[in-house]
Amino acid sequence: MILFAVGGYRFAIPAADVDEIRETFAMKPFRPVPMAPQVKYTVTRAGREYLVVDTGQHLRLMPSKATRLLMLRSSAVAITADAIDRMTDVPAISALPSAFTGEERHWYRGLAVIGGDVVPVVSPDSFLEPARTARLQQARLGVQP
Amino acid sequence: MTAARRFVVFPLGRKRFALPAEVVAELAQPDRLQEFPHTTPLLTGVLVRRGHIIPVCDVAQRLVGRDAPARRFYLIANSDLVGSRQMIALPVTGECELVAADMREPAGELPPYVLGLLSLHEELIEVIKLESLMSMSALHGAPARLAAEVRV
Repeated sequence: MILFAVGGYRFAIPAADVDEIRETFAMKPFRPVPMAPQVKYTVTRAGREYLVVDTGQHLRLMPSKATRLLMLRSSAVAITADAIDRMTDVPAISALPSAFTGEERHWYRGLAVIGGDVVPVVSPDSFLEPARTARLQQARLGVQP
Repeated sequence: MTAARRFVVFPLGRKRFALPAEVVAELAQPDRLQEFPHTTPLLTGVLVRRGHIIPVCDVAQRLVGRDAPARRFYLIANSDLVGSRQMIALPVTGECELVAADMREPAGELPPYVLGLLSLHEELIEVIKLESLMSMSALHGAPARLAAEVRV
């Protein structure tokens, strides 16, 4: 697991879901669209354009200073992080208790207990679903869906 | 005449409420509340107790409003939520009491989460049905504890 911080909270993402961690300086502005207001930048990696999701906005946090990008493996999406904490082994992920019924059921794959701390494990596909990613990319390139 | 049932009476500020004793697992000392972003009304975070992750449901927001005094203990109850039985921690403001009493059917304009009423020493105490309280809050928009609100 990669542990990262956003807006004063710590999150985890499976290392297998991240291709690379980068700094943010190469981001280019992207005019937000109503279907994905949390996308405000793009970044190019190996000739492929990634849509950058503001993780804090996605999780409804107060604005914070992103310094790193986690380039996701399964889609052309990168997510922002204020800081990368470390990598660690997590023996088990607990299901999110069923009392949680809001958007977090979509955001999180489950909860990990790391050194006594409960850390949500984010679901990579929740940041920008593949269908929306494709529509945004098509719109950007002027391609009719 | 019905046999008296047992209830755990808990304070939330100046008012007291009750839960059927059979749903209460324990009264716990203050523990470290762990927060993370979510949008479920009434939930403020989770506790880790004996390896279990237990959601914390601040029912005081619904039962007595935002001005309830600081919560001092956690009453840990079993609840049937979304078809599964799980523990929920309720922050309460003082010591709890185990009582045996007859529960009266709710009468008049009481909210649907009131399971019944106990009459104790001239005090009328609402017995709470936790599942109804939580589902009602979800449906009728008790304020969700968004991280943005909590962390300001």
